[in-house]
Amino acid sequence: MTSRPLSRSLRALTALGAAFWLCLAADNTYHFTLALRGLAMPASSGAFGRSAATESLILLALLAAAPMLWDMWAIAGQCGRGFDASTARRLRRMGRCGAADTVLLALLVWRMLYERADRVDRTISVLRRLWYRMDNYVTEMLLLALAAAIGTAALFALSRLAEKAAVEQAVNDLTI
Amino acid sequence: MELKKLSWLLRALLVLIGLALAMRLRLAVDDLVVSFRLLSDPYDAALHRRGLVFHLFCCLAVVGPFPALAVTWGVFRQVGLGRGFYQEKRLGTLARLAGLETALLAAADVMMLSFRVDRLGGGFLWGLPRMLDGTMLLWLGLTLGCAALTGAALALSRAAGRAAALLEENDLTV
Repeated sequence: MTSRPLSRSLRALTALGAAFWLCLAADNTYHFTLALRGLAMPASSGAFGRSAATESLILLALLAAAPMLWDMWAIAGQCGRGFDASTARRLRRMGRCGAADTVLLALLVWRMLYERADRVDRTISVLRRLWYRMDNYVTEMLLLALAAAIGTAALFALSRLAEKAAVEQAVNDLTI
Repeated sequence: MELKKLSWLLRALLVLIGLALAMRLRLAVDDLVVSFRLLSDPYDAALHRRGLVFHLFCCLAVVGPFPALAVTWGVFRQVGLGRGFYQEKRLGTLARLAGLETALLAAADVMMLSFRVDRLGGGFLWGLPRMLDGTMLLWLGLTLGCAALTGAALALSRAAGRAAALLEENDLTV
């Protein structure tokens, strides 16, 4: 019986995550279209081109995270029923999405650092230049990329555990 | 082995969350200091006082998750060890801390809504979407998320308690 409130709470969290995802996607689509429109202006097409590249990376990262919400909803619904083969499959798929997200977020961090290259003096050391380029926004994205990497590893570890549990359950069923 | 790795990975995630919160705390403290300095401004004194109270709530709301992170560290350290009673206590504490955080966030939400009351000029139905701007929606989402986490921690605490009781019963039977 305790699994039902847990399942509901996790589903509520997933629904909130989906709402947050929708808001972010709408915001970034708007910025992306603005950057695309700016490309038509010959005077500032270079700056808008760079902005469009960054916005497209954010959009791709958001799109890569979307299937995870779907799988999360399904896994939250299975609370209390134990790990089975389908849970393992879902966790593995979430892990793959997480890996794609990690790569895209790492690219985004590199892109943002590249965009901030003109902010600093080129005569100072590389480490100091990097430090000056790391504003709050870049640091947050870097933390997000690291979190995605660790989360991906955790999802793969969980999927292996789920596989093991599913095999043990199948053996027990056969024994009985 | 797999569970040990999972435990370490989950704790690494907690460290990252802690770092992100520390960044937010720095910004919140900056805002608090600015609003404290604004108190000496004689114009709009009432507004500045309200601003100070709001930023104080914001600071408290950012500090609030740190004890919860410390308790969650303890929960994640025991992943795979199956010590039900310890987990029940920790998860109960976590639920209480999450409940407190929800209350803090709800208070900040109410203050933010009160700042936006003048947007209701054209009637409640027309004014409400104007009140619920991006920042307001984000804070409301955070509050709801925290409430859902409180529910999850409570449910997990009960499940851990039941598991511990079953484990003890089995031990006695053996």
